[in-house]
Amino acid sequence: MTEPALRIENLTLGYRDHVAVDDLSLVVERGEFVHIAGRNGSGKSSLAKAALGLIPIWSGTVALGVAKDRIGYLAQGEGQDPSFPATVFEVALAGRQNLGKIFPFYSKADRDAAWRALDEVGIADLSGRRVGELSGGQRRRALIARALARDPEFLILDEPLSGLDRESESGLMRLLDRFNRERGLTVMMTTHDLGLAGPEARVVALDGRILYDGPAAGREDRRHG
Amino acid sequence: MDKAIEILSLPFVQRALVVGVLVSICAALLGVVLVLKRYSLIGHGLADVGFASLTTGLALGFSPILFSAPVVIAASFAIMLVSQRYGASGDVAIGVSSTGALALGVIVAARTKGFNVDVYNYMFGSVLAMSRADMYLTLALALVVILLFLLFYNRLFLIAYDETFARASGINLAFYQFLVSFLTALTVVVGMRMMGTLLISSLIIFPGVAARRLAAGFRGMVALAAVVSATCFIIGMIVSFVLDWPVGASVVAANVACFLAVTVYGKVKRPR
Repeated sequence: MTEPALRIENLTLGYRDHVAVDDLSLVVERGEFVHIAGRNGSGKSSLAKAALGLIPIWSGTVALGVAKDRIGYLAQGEGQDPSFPATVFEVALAGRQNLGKIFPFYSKADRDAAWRALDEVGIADLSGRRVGELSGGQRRRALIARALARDPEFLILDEPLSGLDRESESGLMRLLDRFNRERGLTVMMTTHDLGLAGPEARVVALDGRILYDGPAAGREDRRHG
Repeated sequence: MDKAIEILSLPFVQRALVVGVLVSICAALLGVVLVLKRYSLIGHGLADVGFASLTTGLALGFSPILFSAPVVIAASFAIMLVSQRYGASGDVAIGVSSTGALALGVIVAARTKGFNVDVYNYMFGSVLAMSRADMYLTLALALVVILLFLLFYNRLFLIAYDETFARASGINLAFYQFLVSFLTALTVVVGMRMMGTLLISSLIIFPGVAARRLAAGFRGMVALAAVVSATCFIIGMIVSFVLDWPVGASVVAANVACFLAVTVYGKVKRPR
């Protein structure tokens, strides 16, 4: 039997006196596309960070069934200061860091992987541009290319759609759906808007605890968790 | 032309050029990371610590550079630890160590007789007075800085650009933060003799800030900062010979002029 991509049991964590996630258990099977939905402060981002070991947990267990270097991560937010001098290609190539090599130099295989990732997200022609000069949707695609350049089995995306216009949102969702269907990538994505989730997509609605876990069509209110 | 060749054939000028260009490149490389991480004032803080340690070293009869190196490195680690623990208020650590060290240096210099000229040289730089031993020591330290920077170049980019992704990729952030502090401390120590403790931080800040305005990417910024820094050093030296100005101040003036030119160019090219 295949180990799930992520198994969380009785997870509790928070910040100072505030409990962000309370006794939460969740299993993400390989090949699944899971939407973690909820309002601001419902614990979505904390859950994503805890899955990656980026924040300390108070109790419970978090077990990844995928090697850390086969996980692609997209943090919440617009990325860096727009004036930061980084080209789209440099950002995508940075996804190849820390993949088990002794010296952190890039090989031809690394460069090829970065080009492939940029091609997949449809911005290879912008490779020499400064990331900060791109539109919000293009910038998000550059960061997803960085995650894809790791040749991941599991994508953990924290609010990848926030701040995007409707057209960019749906374009990005189609892209992620394609990665999930065609490449078998496991995707766990936090969102506060389920408008773009297909009726059969698995939705986990959070508010510190799990309020709902099932197909998107089964939720009465598909917006705002 | 003959005059220039004559000047360049002088051994002390050759030493000054080699050391100056190398130290300028070291400072520019680290400056890129420090400017992007909004941490460039650490160079100034460490230079003040360097001033205190070299006056103490001179008072005790030790080699100022050898005595200062461990002190400045220890101070850089202490500043980094405080910054990590207290986040944005880490600049307080720089302010406290900077002013405290400066006061200590002044007290030691005032209470110790007989080395005021040496202290003045270390405060404002005396690249032309470098001995052969100074040169070899500076060269060795500068090469260590450049090699380590190039070795970890890709990691430093990722950490400067996106610490969260770097952590998620399993990269040990603390190690690289300490590495940058260590290399900055070494650069400050080797640059003190050349530029002076009061001016060395300008070599860290100006080239990086100027290059940031022109380069599209990180690699371009690093290359441009190194070229700007080395060029400004050479121009500064030439100006100092022609106008009989102090070398350190002339190099800083060249950097300021370059920064202003780049700023004006940026405004003209991309009005906002």
